[in-house]
Amino acid sequence: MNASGWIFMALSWIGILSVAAFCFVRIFKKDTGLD
Amino acid sequence: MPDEKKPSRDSWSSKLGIILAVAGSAVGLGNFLRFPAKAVANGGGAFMIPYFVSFFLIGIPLMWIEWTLGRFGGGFGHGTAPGIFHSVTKKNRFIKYFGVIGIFGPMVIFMYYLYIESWALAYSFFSLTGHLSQVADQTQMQEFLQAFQGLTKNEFFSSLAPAYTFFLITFCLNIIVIYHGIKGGIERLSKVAMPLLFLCGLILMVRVVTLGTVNPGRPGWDVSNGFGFLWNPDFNSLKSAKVWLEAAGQVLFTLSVGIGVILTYASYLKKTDDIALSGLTAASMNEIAEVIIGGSIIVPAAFVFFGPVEIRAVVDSGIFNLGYVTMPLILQRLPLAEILSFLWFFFLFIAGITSSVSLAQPVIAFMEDEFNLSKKKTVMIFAVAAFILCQPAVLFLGKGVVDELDFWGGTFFLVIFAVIETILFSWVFGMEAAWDEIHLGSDMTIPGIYKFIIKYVTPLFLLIILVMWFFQEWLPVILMTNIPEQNRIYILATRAGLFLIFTTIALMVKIAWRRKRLEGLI
Repeated sequence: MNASGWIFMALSWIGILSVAAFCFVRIFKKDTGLD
Repeated sequence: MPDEKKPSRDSWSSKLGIILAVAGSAVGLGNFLRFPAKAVANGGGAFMIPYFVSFFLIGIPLMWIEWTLGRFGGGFGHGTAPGIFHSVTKKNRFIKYFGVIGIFGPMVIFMYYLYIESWALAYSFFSLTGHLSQVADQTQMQEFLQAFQGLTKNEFFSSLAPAYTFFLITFCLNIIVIYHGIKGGIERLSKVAMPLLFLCGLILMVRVVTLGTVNPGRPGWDVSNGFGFLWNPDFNSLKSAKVWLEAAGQVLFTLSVGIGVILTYASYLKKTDDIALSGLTAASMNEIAEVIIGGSIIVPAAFVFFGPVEIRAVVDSGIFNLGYVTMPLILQRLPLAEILSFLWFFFLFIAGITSSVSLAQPVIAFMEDEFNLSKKKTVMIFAVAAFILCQPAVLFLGKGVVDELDFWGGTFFLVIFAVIETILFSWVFGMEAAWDEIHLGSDMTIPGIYKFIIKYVTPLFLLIILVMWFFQEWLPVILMTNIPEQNRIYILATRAGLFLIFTTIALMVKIAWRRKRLEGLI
């Protein structure tokens, strides 16, 4: 895989995992009353 | 305030339950087979640019629109589009008939999806019995699949009976889950199936990532270059309108928006339950399954074993060949082949069943909500009707019936319905009222730019897709120019059947509303 491929894959993965992490952390905080 | 008297409806027991159920509905065979094939064919890593643009401009907005409309309609005791549209438009007489698509579409998809789902169950069984490991190459594996489908005969299958048996088992499993309702059936299934699906996916992903180079004579055929085959960007592809359309189409199909299922699922929420964060969470789970897991299994694995030339032919041969012909051949060359092969097909089966039970729910909700039928009676009627309606896909697969059903249920009406929903939401319901409705009980604030996107960009984007697809891809299908002469009679019969189903649902809507009027409920 060339450098551009790695960049596209890394950005896509990081973007998706960041949104998912934001959502689950927020849900956890709301459900546990930490928010 | 709800203006119609209703008996209490089913409900979700937890926020996680509905998130997993919506994610389960969205995560299907397309995540693991269709996405990687589309990405490879449309510019690799560069495909992700139009893909994410479409995701943020049509995928996420439609997700929020459906969650909001669903919860709003549920407050009036309606779980399906006819009643929801009726409530949104303040009881316009005709709008409920546009909502027929939201029951018709998922029913049509159910008619063929269940059969394809049953193949995954059958293949997971054949993996454990060793049948699949006796097949040596692509041609034989293709013959195995065709003989299993009853299209030809070989040493393994001489009739459709094995496929029909697995169809019956799958059908019964679906009916059992549906019978147990939202909380006891779908939510319970999703809470077990979704973690299991991600676990199976991760095991397969780790196995593929650790493949290295399996053929020492071909050092370039390694897993890193396998990922490169999917991710190396071809920026020239971005100049092609087709690539942008393919990306938008993939986003629409993968999120299960425009079908009517999310409307129904969200209708079982309470008025102050969060939808903004829950919708985004379900969508992000779908993207993990699609881009991260789906992109890391079949294409890198096929590249390692078949190399850059043959894999291109494999990808072009269609998504079913990828899943049911290529993948078992790859897995049987690895240690613990039977277990890995079982895991792959069981993984597809879980993805399938969490989607198929969701496809049944709009019909179930329609009969329960609008005719006040009991769960038992509703499921019995549904089971008999659905069993009969599934037969054409099983018996006439080789005549192009499944493709025809997929075109109308899974493509044509899906885009039409998405356009109707978006216009209703932002222009009829009104963006200010809609914005307040989304944020009612919300656990997050949606960026203000989405007010503009939902009102102008999403409908415009969808209309462009609709017009371009109509002329570029749909017209030849509608005119049957791509259908072999001998199959045209089957296609016409399928269309007549679909017209009859659509008319029957529209008639049922008319009867339900007349009955409500006579009873003074509306």
